[in-house]
Amino acid sequence: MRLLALVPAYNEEGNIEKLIDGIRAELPGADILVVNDCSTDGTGSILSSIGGIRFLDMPFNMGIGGAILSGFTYFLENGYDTLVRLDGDGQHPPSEAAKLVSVVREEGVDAVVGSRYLVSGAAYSSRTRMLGIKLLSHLSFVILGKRFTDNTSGFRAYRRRAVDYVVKDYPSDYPEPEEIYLLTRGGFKVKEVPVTMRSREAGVSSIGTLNTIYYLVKVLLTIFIKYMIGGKN
Amino acid sequence: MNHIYYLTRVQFFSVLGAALLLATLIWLIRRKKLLVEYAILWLAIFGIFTGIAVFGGLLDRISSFFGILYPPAALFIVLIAGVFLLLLYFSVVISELKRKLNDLAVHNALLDERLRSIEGEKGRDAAAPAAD
Repeated sequence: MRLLALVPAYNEEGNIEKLIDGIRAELPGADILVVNDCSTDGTGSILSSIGGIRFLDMPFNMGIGGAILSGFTYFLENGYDTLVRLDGDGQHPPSEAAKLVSVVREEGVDAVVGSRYLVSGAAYSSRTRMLGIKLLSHLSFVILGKRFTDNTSGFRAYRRRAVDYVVKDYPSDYPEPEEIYLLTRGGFKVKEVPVTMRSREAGVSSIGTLNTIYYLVKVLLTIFIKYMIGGKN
Repeated sequence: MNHIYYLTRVQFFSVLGAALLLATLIWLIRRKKLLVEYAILWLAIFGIFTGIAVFGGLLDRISSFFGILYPPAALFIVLIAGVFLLLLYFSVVISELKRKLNDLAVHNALLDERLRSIEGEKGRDAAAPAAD
């Protein structure tokens, strides 16, 4: 059983080394692939100096969708069977990643989404973001018949066949809610499990208030269009 | 009479605009800033526009068909529809180009990683006998 830990990173010089150490400690059998999405800080040189990891240096900033697509392609081309994704900002604790991997491997589901909101009393986001997340949660219930409480979470684990399916038409930006939609509509088993996440320790988030609104509108329209045309890959 | 006067001015400026566009397109093609296939599209749209403007009878027929009382307005509707179609076409072309560019970037990054990995192995192989 080959496991790949995929870490998309953009300007994460303050977080990346600690995260890699954490993954090595918690997932000792995993290969680590960092996708450096054309960072302008020292992320690239830090990755070059760390031995024993693999990294992709993107020639230009492709956004999170492009970075994940690159990681997925690497995963498929190199014969892995399980993938766990942790964001480079350090918000996804490697100790929780092990939990996601064990759910995929032992419970026979195709993809597992780590949800912050299945943990009671959790509040991680601004009011605007929370509103968007709630709206997406209701939408998932209406169109998929199943409620996903944390559609925007990028803390996920996948079986090979799920990756093989979504990679065919992967969204270029803000892919997370659409990915859940595609997998569920495609007949794959997707499960949410409660996870604890951390606050970003260094750097700044790439999603501000205006981007949050754009994110929501884009995701809602895309899902609506795919729903209308029967969006299966 | 007023009606004929405005139509004549429209005809004049349409021909002038088409001539300017043609000159610009030729200049852009010669400087290799525009591919002929895209210049043809612009020429086709403006050719139709100029033809309609010059042959007044055609314009009258089009405007009466669409129920437009003022024929020069029909001329601009034809122009706007043409430009709209061009924009739509270019959106399709840009989407296709973006997809291809992303595929190329992913391919490039994977090749780069493979090269680094091979060079690393070679470096280790070269260092091994020295260590012995």
